[in-house]
Amino acid sequence: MKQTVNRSRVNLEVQLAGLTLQNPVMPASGTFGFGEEYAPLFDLNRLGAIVVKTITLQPLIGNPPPRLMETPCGVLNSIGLQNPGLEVFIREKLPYLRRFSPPLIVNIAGRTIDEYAELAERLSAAGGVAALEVNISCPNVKEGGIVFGTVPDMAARVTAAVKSQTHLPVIVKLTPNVTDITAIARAVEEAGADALSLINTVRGMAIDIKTRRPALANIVGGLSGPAIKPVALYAVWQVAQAVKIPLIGMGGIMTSRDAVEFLLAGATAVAVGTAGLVNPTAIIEIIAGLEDYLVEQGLNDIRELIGAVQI
Amino acid sequence: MYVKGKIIEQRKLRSEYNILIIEQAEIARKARPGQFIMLQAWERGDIVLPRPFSLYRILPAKGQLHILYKIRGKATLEMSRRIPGEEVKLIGPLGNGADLPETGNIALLGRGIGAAPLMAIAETAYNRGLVVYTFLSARKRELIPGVVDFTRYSSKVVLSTDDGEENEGRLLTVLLEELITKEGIKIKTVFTCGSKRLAQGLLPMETKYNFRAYVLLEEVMACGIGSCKGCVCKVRTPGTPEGHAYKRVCKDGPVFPASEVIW
Repeated sequence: MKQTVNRSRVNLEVQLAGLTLQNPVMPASGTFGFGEEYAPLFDLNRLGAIVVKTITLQPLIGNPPPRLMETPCGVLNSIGLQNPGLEVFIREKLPYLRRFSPPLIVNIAGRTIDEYAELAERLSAAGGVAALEVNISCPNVKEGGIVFGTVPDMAARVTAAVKSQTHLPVIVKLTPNVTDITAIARAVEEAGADALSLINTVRGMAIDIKTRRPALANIVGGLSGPAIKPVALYAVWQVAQAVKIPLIGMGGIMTSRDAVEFLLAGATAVAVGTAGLVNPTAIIEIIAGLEDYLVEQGLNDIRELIGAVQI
Repeated sequence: MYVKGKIIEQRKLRSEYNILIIEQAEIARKARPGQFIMLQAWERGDIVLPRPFSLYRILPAKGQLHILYKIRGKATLEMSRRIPGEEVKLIGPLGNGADLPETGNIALLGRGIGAAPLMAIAETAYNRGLVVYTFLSARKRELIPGVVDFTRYSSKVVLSTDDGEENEGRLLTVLLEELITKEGIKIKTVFTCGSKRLAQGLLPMETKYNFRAYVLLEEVMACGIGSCKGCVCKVRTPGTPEGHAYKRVCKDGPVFPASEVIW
């Protein structure tokens, strides 16, 4: 029997790795820049968390164009972690980001384990950062990135190095481009990760048959969007069985219905990437849609959905 | 701004081009020539991203935007099927737009559908009392869009077609050079769109004839607002270790000084 639920009583708040999120929806790193471009389009204070684009120790100019290609139900990208580097981030971007109330999650990537450690140390000291998201899953850079995310021992070593340099919660972002994502997830959990983000993009390519050349200058790119949602959902469900730490589910979430699926599969929170490129206010609509779903289902608390898929 | 717009007219041109007329008063009021919009004119899940379109005409008094487009793929095919009264979604106005000189003459060089954003520049320049010289090329005559409209705003419209029917298919840069040297016309600013060759051809002419050349770039885009860094072009950037940087066509452009772009 469904009970009648008053919308104002619906709870969307979740706890994740020591962070309190007013709702479980956040942008996916890399699709949201440093928030500046989206601030004129909606109030960033409505987000569950703010997740910024990957920061590296030194500035990266990124990959040569073309960097983007649309494929059926998906987007292939190979940006190559273009970013202004840690110093510029701390000096020019962080003061702006500190104005907002949702927890700020800063995504980091290193070419070496030492670089990850240094990024963790300096960002922890910078103030205003609520958590670190460790990118060991970028498919588009030659050094670092995915190299650390495909071998359990390497993933564990990066996680331990970051943990040793920070008091902040450490979220490790996993790649689906592995044989067994649960092996990586378990290794990272044992090394001290406080939460996991999954999945990063799925490796793919496209060829322009007129020029007979790859559509992306980098040849390979990362596929995102609705095309990868089933892959992502299955990964979340599998990993949810394998670890105890909370998960942030992502990969092709376009609507609140998609978000509900990820929560049911075992994610405590979700991240929205490609949808925000299609509709800049998608993330706000997803938050509202989650509330509607709870009311519709006669539930008071979003936490009742987490891992509630009935097998 | 992420808003809805209403289709007023779907105008089929003689060739493979269409003009979509959208009522969107706020964007029409704010937009400047050279800016663009991201448009979503379909409800199909397999087409993921909105598509960037330059503004062919901006009519603030009527609250209208005119989009000249060519049917190239499934998104533009869907767009061509929309009928008056239907709604579309838009983000805009986006990009830096074209900076027109206060006084003097401007030249516009467009290849094929690249003529689209030049129309809004021509109209604005004409309304500000600048003298406009327009040079347009395509494979054949019917693939040059908007000649009648360009004629209204230009002192002279020069055409060239690859089939030789117009001006023996000579390069627009050569035809511009003739205007400058044979007719003694001084050009202050040139805008070009639709051909890498045209933009490159303008480079040696800049110092020789003392004008500034700007290119309007097109690139596949995702967000359109500068966030995703997907639509970059390579730009000369002295003082950086590489000597170049990747700038966002959507936010830092789409109008770039032609001499800065590394092709």
